[in-house]
Order: sequence, then structure tokens, then C-alpha cells
Amino acid sequence: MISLSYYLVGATLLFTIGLYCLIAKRNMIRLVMGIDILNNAANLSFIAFSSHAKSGFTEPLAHAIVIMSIAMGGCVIAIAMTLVLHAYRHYKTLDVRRLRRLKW
Amino acid sequence: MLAKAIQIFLLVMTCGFAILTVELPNLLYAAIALFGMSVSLGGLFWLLRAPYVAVFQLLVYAGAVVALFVVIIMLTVGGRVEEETRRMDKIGAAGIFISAIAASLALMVIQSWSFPLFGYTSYEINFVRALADTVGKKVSHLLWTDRALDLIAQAFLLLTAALACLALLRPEGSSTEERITSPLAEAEGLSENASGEGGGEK
Repeated sequence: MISLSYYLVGATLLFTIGLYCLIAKRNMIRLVMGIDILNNAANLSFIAFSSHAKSGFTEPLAHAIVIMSIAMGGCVIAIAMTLVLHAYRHYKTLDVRRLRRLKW
Repeated sequence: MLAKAIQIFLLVMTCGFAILTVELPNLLYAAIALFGMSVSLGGLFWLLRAPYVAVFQLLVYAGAVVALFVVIIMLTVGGRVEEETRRMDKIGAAGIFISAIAASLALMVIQSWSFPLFGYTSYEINFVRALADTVGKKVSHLLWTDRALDLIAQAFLLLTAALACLALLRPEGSSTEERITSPLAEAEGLSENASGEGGGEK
């Protein structure tokens, strides 16, 4: 098994990519993808810590938490996508900068 | 040696697919790149002796979420390339700058501090042998005994999310209430018909 630093660097890169997506992109679907990437980065760091804390052992509590986190992430993305679909039907665009009017 | 090479390869693939997800102009291809990222991450979880997490990752993120993305993309812009300009604007530059600072800070923390930070390795009872069978049994035991309340709450939340999705994905104007009991809509319809007929006569 490779050392923990590789996984932490990978998780940091994933987190940075997600953060960049959230800051720089305008498309709502791509923003939800950015949230997905951020969630995956957090999950990867959880599992990496649990597997590297003690050689040859792993901590199942972290696995249980990540399983719940994955299910929660799925819920969040599902709700976000339906909101995106409604916003698209209302405004006829996916560009967040054009959603100036918050009143439905 | 081979396992290490596979892990590094999967890590690189995960980051590469994440970059493709963010940067590909076609949203459909971006969703496919997201699928690749989720599968690579599932493989990494499996190699990190987290089989349940790997299965959940493949089922939820690589399966359901990617399918949802594809459906929503086809319902909105389809396979069209988005109109976003390729030139770098101020917000894009700020995004790169802030992300670079965040990455540098995180890498500095990783290099300067030794892990594990929290000293929780002293709790022997929390650790199990990193074998797929043992981990599977222990995780399922943890979930069903110690975390039963969390699981029930999660099940209700999933049910609520599914119902909310169904409610939100309902086509516009398809509810029976709107069709039957909306006098305003009926009046508007009548006036449109009247004006249409009048226009036809003229």
C-alpha cells in the first residue's frame, strides 16, 4: 500500500479542482458536478486516514460514516439537479449569472 | 509493487477524470468523465480495504448520480456544447488563484505535520484486521447495531429526497388541481381563444 501522503495529495487535488469549478464555472450542472467532486475528495481522505492509521488494520467506523456520506451526497445531488431543471424551465438558461431574479 | 502501481495509476486517473469533468465543453462528455472518476475512486476504496464503501461508491455515484446527470442534461441542453466563452475572465482567474492558494496551504500542512494527528490509534478496540471479510462483517455490525438510528434517519431522508425529486420532476401544468380549479387559467384560456377567433375574422 502506498503511503498516506499520496492519498492526501490526491484528495487535495480533487478538492482544489472542485473548488475551482465552484468559483469559476457558470453552468449550474457543472457546479453540481463540482459539489460531487468535493464530496468525493472528503470521502477519499476519510478512508485513507482510516486505512493508514495503523499498519494492517482499518477502522470500520470511518467506513460507516463514509457510507452515510455517500448516501447523503446522492440525496443532495438529486435535489440539486431537480432544482436545476426547474430553474432551466423557468429561465431557459443554465447560466447562474443570468438568474438575477430570485422570485419564482 | 504491482498493487502500489495500480493505486498510483487509479489516483492519477481519478484526478485526470476530475479535470476532464470540469473542463470538457460538452456536458455529456463531462458526465462520462464523472463516471470514470467515480469508478476509479471505487477501485481505490476497494484497494484501501473498504469493500462496502467501494460498492456504495459504484452504486450511488457511478450508477445513480451519473444516470441522473445524463437524464437532466438530455432534458436541458442535450449534447450541445455550452456557450461559455473560452477566454479567461476575472472570475476564472480568481478561481484559479484561490484554488492554488488552498492547494498550497493543504500541501504545506501535509508536508509539515505528521499523521495521524489525533492520536486515535491508541484505541485498539476500534481497529479490525484489514481483510475484506473481517471489515465487511464489522462494518455491517456497526451499521446495524451502533448506528441503527442513523440508518433509519438516512432511510427517511432518502425517501424524502426521492419524493421531492418526483414532485419536482413533474411536468409543468400537469397537476389536476391546476387544470380543474384554476379560474385564472381558464379565464386566460377563454380570452386567448376569443382573441384568436377575432384575429381570424379580421
